[in-house]
Amino acid sequence: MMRRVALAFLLLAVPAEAALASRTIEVSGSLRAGEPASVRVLDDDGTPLGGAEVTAVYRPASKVSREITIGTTSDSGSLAWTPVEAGIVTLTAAPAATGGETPSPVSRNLSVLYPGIPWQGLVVLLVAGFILYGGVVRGFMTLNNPPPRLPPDT
Amino acid sequence: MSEKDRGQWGSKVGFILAASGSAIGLGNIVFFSANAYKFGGGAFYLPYFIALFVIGMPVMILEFGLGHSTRRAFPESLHEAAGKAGEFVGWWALMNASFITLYYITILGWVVGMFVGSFGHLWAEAVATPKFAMDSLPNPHGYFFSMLSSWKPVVYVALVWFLNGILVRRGVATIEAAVKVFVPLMWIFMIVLIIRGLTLPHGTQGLWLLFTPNFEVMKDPAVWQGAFSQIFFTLSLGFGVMTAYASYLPKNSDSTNNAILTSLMNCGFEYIAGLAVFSILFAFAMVPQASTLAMMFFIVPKGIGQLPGGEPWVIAFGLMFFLLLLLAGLSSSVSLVEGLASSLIDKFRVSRAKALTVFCVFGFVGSAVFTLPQVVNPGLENDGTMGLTLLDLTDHWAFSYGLLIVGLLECLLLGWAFGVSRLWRHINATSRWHLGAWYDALIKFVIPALILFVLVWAVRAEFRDGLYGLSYADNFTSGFRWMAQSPLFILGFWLLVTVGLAAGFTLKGSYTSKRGKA
Repeated sequence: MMRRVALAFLLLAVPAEAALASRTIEVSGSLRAGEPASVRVLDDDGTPLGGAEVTAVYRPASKVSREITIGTTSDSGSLAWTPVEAGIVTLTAAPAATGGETPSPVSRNLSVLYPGIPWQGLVVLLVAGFILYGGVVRGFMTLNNPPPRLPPDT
Repeated sequence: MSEKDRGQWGSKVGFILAASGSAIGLGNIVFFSANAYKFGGGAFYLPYFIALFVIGMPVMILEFGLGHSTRRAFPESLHEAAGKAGEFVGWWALMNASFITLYYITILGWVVGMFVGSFGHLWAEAVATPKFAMDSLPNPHGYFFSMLSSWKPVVYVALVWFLNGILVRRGVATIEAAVKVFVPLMWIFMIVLIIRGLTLPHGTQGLWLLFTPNFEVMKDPAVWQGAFSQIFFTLSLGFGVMTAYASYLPKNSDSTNNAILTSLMNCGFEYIAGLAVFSILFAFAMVPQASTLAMMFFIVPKGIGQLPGGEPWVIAFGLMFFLLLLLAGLSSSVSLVEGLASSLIDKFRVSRAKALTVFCVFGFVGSAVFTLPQVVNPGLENDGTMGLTLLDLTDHWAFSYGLLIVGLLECLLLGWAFGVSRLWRHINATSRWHLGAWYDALIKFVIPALILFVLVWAVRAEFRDGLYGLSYADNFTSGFRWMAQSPLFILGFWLLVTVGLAAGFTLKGSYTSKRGKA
């Protein structure tokens, strides 16, 4: 069955994405947890955007999200970043205020790879799969074999 | 009414397919993944798996055992177990389930609309949406809201109600025939989606996102609350459906094995649905929202729209995804319709055709209310149309609270008033796996305590956060505003109608006089 339908409907995200499309965040490197990568923020016309504060939100839009400020971009618009955990991350660059005006921030979702096969994840995957599907097979095998002392099917 | 007149499953496999088809619905395909992501992926899966054994299977055994021992639908089963009070709980559960059925079928109507759109329009870059504050919206949002702000969904809803009527017209015979096609097809479609998801670049990394436990996050009680409520909802507990289905089983059926098998099939399907959705999320770096509709109509279709291989593949996978949703939804909705139909037939001795005609006609009118296309929120800060807003609010009370309250009352009635040991002795007589005193403790103490914990946690969040970003205190201090007052209005309406109808059905007539026992 289903549960809890439309609250927090991500509707605002649609026009917001369009409005923020002018600036961009580029990331180079392997983008793997624990390995350094380089973030570069570009302005509307493609020129590097210095002085922008960059934050990373791990597990964005979840109850257990975690926000970490990475730092401020250099004049070349660059910043070093080492993702601390794997998964989906939202990077947001907030340009510095100029002339009393605060420019709108730019965001980008990224997938940060696991450094290797996480053994705990592998164990849960295999054990859960074994219990679920092993149980289904066992259940079907005994489905038409009632305990021996029972009368035949009515 | 004799057992023969009531009908019986043609085979045990048919029953298992029907019961698992009832449990496997839209929520298994999309809501599980949305909920798992919301609570941290791997941090959610372990508590969810524990909840399956602690709360899911025991309550499933209880509902199967009740139907099997009394061989009656939910209200009469509870009447036999706990008298009029029990019968009232049974009818209230069915009235609550009927509310859910109304909007569930509306959502299936929208699925039909998206299926139609999958032939082409859904995959265009944007769609004009002049009724909203934006002239156009990118797809799939654009197509979805343009459909919602038209009267087309009324036609789709009529079609879905018609299909339900056809599928339930001869009771378990037609349901069994349908699920023997639907359920295998659902598994095949889902396996194809998994293969596609896992073969995307970095798609396999989605597996680790879903299954790698994060013990730090698991310390948060909210994760456990989410996992325990998820398992209750996903197994279709508290609807009265499982009791109705089990009442059509032969006398020597193994209730424990049936309950375990149905629960494992349901969670096994969720397991592979999670693989498919998380692989797509990871491959395209998509951030899901904890909402079934958002995941179903926006996130997954957006991922499908980005699949490599060109438009034919996108169209093929889009059609398959929405057909999968339709089949899963139909196999659940027929069980809801059958749950009420069998109860009316058992108590009032009306013909199946009459009971179904009345329910389908009133049901269509009710579902049509949730398709009202008037735009109440042009900026789309919340729900957009009147129908969607009403649906959201009804779901909030009927689903999030109604089912848990039924589950709690069911455990208390059967555990304390009836005596759960009487039930497990009956179950043990035909089962390989024997229940014992530990089962008494689960039904009488542990599960009620867990459900109470989930309910109290939800009420606490309700008072703290309110709905749509408005606390209930604001509702009373800021004067009348539609979005602020409507949650309480719907709560009152839902309680009044469900309690009123349940009381009416309980007081009208009696089972003994109808059967000539008195």
